[in-house]
Amino acid sequence: MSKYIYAIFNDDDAVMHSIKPLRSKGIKIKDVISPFPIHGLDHELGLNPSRLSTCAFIYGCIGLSLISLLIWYTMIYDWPMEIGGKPNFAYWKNVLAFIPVSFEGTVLCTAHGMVITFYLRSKLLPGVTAPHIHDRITDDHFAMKVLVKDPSKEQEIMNELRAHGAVEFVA
Amino acid sequence: MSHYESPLRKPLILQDKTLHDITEDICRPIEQKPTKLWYAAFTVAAVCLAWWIACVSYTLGTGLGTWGTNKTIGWAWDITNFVWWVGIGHAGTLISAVLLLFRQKWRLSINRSAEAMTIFAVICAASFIVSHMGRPWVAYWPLPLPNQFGSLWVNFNSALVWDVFAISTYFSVSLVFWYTGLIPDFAVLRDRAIAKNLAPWRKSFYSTVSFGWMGTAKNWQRFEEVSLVLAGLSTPLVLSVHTIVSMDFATSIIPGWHTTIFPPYFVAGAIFSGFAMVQTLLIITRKILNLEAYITIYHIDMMNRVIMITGSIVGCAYITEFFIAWYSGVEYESYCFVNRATGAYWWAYWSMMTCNVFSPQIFWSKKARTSVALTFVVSIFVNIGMWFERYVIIVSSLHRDFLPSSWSMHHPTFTEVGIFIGSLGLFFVLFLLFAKFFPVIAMSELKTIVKSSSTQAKKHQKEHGELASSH
Amino acid sequence: MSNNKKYWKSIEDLQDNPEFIKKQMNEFAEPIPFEALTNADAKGDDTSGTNRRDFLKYMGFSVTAASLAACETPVRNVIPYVNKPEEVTPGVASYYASSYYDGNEFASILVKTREGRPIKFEYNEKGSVKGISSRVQASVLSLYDSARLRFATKNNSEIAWDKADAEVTAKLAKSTNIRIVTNTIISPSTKAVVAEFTAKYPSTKHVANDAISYNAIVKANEFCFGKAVIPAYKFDQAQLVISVGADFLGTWLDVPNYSGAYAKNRKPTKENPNMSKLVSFEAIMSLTGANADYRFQTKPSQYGAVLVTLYNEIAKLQGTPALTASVSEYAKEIAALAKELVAAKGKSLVICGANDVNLQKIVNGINVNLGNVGATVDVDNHSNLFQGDDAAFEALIAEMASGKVDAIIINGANPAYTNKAFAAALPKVGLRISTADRADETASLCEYIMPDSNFLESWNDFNPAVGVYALQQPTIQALGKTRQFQDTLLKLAGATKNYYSTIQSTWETTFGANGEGSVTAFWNKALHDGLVLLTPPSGVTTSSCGANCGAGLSEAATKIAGYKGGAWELVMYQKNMGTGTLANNPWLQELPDPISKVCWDNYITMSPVQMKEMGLTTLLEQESKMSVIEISVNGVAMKVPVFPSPGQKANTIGLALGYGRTLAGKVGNNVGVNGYPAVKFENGNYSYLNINTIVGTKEIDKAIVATTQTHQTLMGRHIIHEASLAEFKKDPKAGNEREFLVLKDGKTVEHKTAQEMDLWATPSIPGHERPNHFWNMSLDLNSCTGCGDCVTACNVENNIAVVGKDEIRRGREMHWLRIDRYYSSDSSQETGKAGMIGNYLDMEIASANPSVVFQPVMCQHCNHAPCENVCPVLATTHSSEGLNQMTYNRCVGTRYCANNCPYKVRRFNWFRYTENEKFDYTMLGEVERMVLNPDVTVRTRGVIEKCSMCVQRIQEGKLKAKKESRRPVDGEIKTACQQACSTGAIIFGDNNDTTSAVTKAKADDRMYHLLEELNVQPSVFYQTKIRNNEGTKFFAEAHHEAGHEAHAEGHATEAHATTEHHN
Repeated sequence: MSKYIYAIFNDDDAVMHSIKPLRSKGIKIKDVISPFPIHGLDHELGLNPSRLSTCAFIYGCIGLSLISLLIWYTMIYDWPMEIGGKPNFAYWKNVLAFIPVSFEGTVLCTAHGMVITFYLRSKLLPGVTAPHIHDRITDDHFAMKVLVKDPSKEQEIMNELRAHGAVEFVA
Repeated sequence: MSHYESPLRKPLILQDKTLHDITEDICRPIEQKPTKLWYAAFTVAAVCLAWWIACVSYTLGTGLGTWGTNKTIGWAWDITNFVWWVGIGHAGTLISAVLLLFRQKWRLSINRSAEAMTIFAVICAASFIVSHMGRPWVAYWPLPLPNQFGSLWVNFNSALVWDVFAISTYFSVSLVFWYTGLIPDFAVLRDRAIAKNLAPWRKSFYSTVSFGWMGTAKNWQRFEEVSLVLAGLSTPLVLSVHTIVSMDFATSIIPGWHTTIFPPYFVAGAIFSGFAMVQTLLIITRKILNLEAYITIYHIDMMNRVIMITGSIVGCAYITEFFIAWYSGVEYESYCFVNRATGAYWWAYWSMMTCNVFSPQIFWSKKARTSVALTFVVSIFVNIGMWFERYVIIVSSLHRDFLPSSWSMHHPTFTEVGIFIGSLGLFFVLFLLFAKFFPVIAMSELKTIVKSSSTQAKKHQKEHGELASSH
Repeated sequence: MSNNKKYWKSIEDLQDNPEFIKKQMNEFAEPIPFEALTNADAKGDDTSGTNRRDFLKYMGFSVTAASLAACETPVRNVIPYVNKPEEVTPGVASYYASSYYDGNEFASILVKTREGRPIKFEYNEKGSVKGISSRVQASVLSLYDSARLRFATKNNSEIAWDKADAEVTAKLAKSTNIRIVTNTIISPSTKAVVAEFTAKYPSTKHVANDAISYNAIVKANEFCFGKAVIPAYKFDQAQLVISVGADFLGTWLDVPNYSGAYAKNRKPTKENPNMSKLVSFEAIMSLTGANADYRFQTKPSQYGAVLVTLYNEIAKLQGTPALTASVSEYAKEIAALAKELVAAKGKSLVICGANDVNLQKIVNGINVNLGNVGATVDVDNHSNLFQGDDAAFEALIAEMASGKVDAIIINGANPAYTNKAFAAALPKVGLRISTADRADETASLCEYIMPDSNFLESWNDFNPAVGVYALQQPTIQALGKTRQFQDTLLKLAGATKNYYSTIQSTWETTFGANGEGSVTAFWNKALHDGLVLLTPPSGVTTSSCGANCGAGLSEAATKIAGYKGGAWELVMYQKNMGTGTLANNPWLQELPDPISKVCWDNYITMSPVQMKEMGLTTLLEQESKMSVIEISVNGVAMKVPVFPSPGQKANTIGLALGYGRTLAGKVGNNVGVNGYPAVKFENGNYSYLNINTIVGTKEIDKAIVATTQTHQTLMGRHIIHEASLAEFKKDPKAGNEREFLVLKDGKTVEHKTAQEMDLWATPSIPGHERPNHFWNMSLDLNSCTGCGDCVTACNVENNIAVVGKDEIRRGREMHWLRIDRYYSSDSSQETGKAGMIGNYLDMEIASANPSVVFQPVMCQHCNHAPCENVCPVLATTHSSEGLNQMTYNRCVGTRYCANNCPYKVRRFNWFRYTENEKFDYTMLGEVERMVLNPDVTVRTRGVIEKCSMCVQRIQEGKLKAKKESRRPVDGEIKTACQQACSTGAIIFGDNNDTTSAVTKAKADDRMYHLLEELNVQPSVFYQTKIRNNEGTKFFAEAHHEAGHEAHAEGHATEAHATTEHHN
């Protein structure tokens, strides 16, 4: 019966620099919770790079095609009208006038698509409540989530962590 | 080496602030009762807002005849205010997006309120789009909505439709950008509410708005990715928005409007007025919420430089217009500009020149740049000047166009003036509420530079001659 | 969601009453009792030689309806449409030939009625006038004027007609000295009625009184030719017209007749490049002066001198005895003129506007010597208008004042308003009866008001000129309990017959069958045509003066030599408002004055130069008020705002009559100042020229004067293309340079028009062809006199909102069609010495004696319309017939289109004019709004509107043609403005029809597009203005401003050339 413990640190560098040595000692560090982004932490933890930017690109393409389709359908195909003598009867002839809207449409889809994906993927939604691990976890303390497989080894792991700067433990 | 920064650089956080101090300083005003100063400001703003509601309702009820516009001058204060507000909005996005791309750390303590300003300014701008319509109750028609007439769509040739798309995209994207940044800080407030066992509404409110933010490594990784991409999107977006606003005029045929330099000239103007407004607001905010430690003279100095540069760019634009008007030899154009500077609206033109081109030049001197009082004064000047710029462009061009028989003058009515003053009320009510309930500084992001750019860090460096690290 | 409510039409329906269900089967609830009608129709059918069958139908109905309305038949009510009269189709207009006469103006008109409501007047093709004046157009609203009395009153409280009749008859029986005061009666039948009344009451005398008197002409003619008449002036036969203060293009006598005839000689073409010459001597800038080829600023006191000098110069050339000379400042010019006049013997015309018999005698002398009498001045086939005798009226007032008169009946005239002496004397009369249609200034002083019916509710006949007989028929039942004047007189005279039968008998006795088979047949035809023209007796009888003429002339000349003007001289003139009879008419009040462009006011016109000297404000601007000064004319002091009028003779002022009504109605009350008290009875006539006026030199107050055009000059812009006749003869393209330069490569340049430099060559774009029609309009700046009749026509046709003085001065008039008036300026960027900025300021100042141009501007229906591009919601788009369409119910009111319109012709609905109490004019009142045209949408608040080229008329015409399976014929479809224009300056038609008049006009060398360099490719185009003003040197210098202007224009053109070079 294994369990998680949270080692609380009070310095981001301590967290950063202790991950490698601790792992080398076979301690299973699952995650680090910090009040602000710590650069390079994802590398230390060996997380895969995020693919949100790829999504963004795809959303952009979708947006561009949707808005262009709308413009083509309403202006050219469905009900062409004579407007100020402009060549409204061929998309390519009148495309100059459509660039601004096409651009805005693209940005709209990209931005919102990506943000929504981010919220869903990270389970960030109104109503979702986060566990309150430690009072100052969003203030100036840092929590290292460690998996303890064998309860008998817990004390040993704690010492190891304390040696590397952990100041507190939360089960 | 992520923390290394030359000790020569000015510290961005003063008074030996630690991570915890930051949290404290920024959360305190939110958790405490508002100050007298806040109440005073809020009352004034609320009164203006009430006046706004009154004037707008009168206009909606009676018709646009309650304004001073006429057959020749179809737009006056309404669109002037619209462009003015949109312009102001731009600084926010610019600071958070462009400066993020350029990795300007000094943005961190001002971007939050700047973005808030963006959103509120755009709300004010939008209010003018609606109220200037003859039939505001059908204000949704310019959107490409399917309707009972089947084939009845919008005109994608019209700069106004471009506007609709630009403004709505700009508003919604800025909003999510801003909100995404707010989530970790809401989490801070949430946890403090739980820890200190504050009023239950705080617990529930902040835990709802923080969307259950944890702050795990993956969270932060994605968070930074999103911020980066949004910044990358917002930068061309913000430029496109004012470009399109300028096209409302540039794509028309009216002398004084039909000008190809409008897009860059408007964008520069937008940054110019935006930064001025940021100055105005922050100088007030840092006083009211005593945040001098985070919004430092250095920040003010930086922004003053931007104001000075953009102000000069705008000045060049004014001169270019005149040159082209003369060089083109088109009689309508040249008359339009002669009339602008010497005709019935000379006063508007010269107050614009004084406020926009001459007044910022004072910032060539460091003394001036670093003086809070002077900065405040100049920022107000610039705001006034930029309002006049739009007034001059719109009214002085329309009032004497092609056929002398239709030449006319514009005289604002109390309703028009009231709606403008009222819109300021709307803006400040929103901003003061924001300052009261939202963290006005992006704590989490600011914390990332404590180790590099705080006085404490700098001292540490001096003592140990090496970068700060764990004890 | 489907709506399954059941609506039941009536209780029976609800209860499924079997009888009701049976009834429901029938189309009509009851059989239609209309044999009478159909018979009448048939009668009409076979007795008419005309092929205008529609007229015939209407005529048929009108006869019956009329007889039903007039005779004592049981049917006296307006027939409800459950029994649909065969001739009246809902949605289709019926036209009735009728006549308009208000004592000042006669017009033979067609009344357009919709569902029984008269809504518009159009000219009667049978008549000589091919247009219709603003006053006649607007008068349709008088029918729906809520100020009209709905019943007879005694001391301002209702009284039943029979009771009133009884009382009045009793009182008349006792009266020993009865007077009937009317305006000039040109109706034979009315004269008969008056005669009948006089027979009953022998003490009756009839006195005619014209609001504005032309009695001097009558007297002079009586003296010279023994005919006390207004002659017929034949402007179409005059090659040289000299007007001394006679505004025959504006308001003098029978204007629509004159302007139409005059314009016939003002249309030079390549084939026949000749046109008449108009020379004007005048003090104020009148329409005639503005249109004159030469205009000499002359004080009223000098009119006589000018005429005498002219007479003597002609006498010198013809070797006839001269008259006592008077000195004129224009001796040289007049001498030159005399030569031209003698050269154009019998082909010239000299007229004078002064109501002074001495001057008119000289005029007669000149015209006789020039052989014009019998040629251009026809005394035999004279007009019957303006028979009012000033002396007789003065005598009447004296009688009344002395209390001799014990009963007076007043009709048509409003003397208490036009003559303060009469107002003072009236209360002294025992029995005072007015038949005014409202309690006006005179009627309110009367005991009994027996309200006259509107002319659209009444029968009448007219004989406006020798050989011209016209009928007036009712087109609607009387709206109130009113009775037409003639019936009232008959009643009081105790006659049993009514006026309708009187007319018929008069006509029977005058014409008999008149070659129409039967009397009825002739009557029906006359009624259908509305007009009977008898061929005038051939051979002129009057061409020379009577024996005593010479003596009279020299006597007159000596009197004239005695005329000495004071420091200031006053000219009392008329504006669109006319004599003030129609003062309660919002359309007329809001029609801008052709010269000053001022609405809703009269004012003192003064030379701007003098105003500056006196320190009066000359700034025209919506918020800036004009100075008010006090003037005193023969003892009457008035406080009047002063309005700058370039071209006004120094030390003269003008004041329009017809304003300052106090009891006209809610619209007309207290608008402007009443000038009539300044009219003086001198030399046996009412004089509208006061050569001894005291003018207060300092501003005593300020007042808003609302004008639709605050900027006066062209600013050197190439908006008006003009040339002199000589230039035109050399090159028909003169003044119409339309070429632009394009840089081909570094060195050579090639000429190209804007159209040739088009981004997208229009025809090549699919969907932009004009497959069916291509509606175009030509506006001839040369024929346009600027009168503004087209504007009124447009307002009436298109339900255009009247917005009132306060909105006008804010620059919010709603007129779809406006007439721009520009004065020439002495300065230009090329000739000016004040530097660029200074020159621009100078160019804003009009010349002292400017040449004037009028330019009608409506939506130009651009085929590359800037307004269409910018509309976000596609509320304005282009039709495949070349029309720029406005979709009101799609408009959201951003006003972007209006801003982007280079012609500024788009109008915005600032308020809900149909419901806002502030705009109680033509759309708010329950009665007033009956005048609205059902074919045209009444626009709501917050939408843009503009000229639609009368698309409703286009559709109607196309539909008519389609039903007869043919193409519309050229000229069949007329826009309202075109129809109203008596000079034919407006041509509308299909440009796809290669033979159409408009296509020819488009190909003409004089054709140009307004602001062509913008290349918006309008469907509306203009024709160059040609001025017939060179010849003798004197003229050239007397008129040097025009030269300057032309010069400046020329430069402007070159400037254009270079501009394109840089682009």
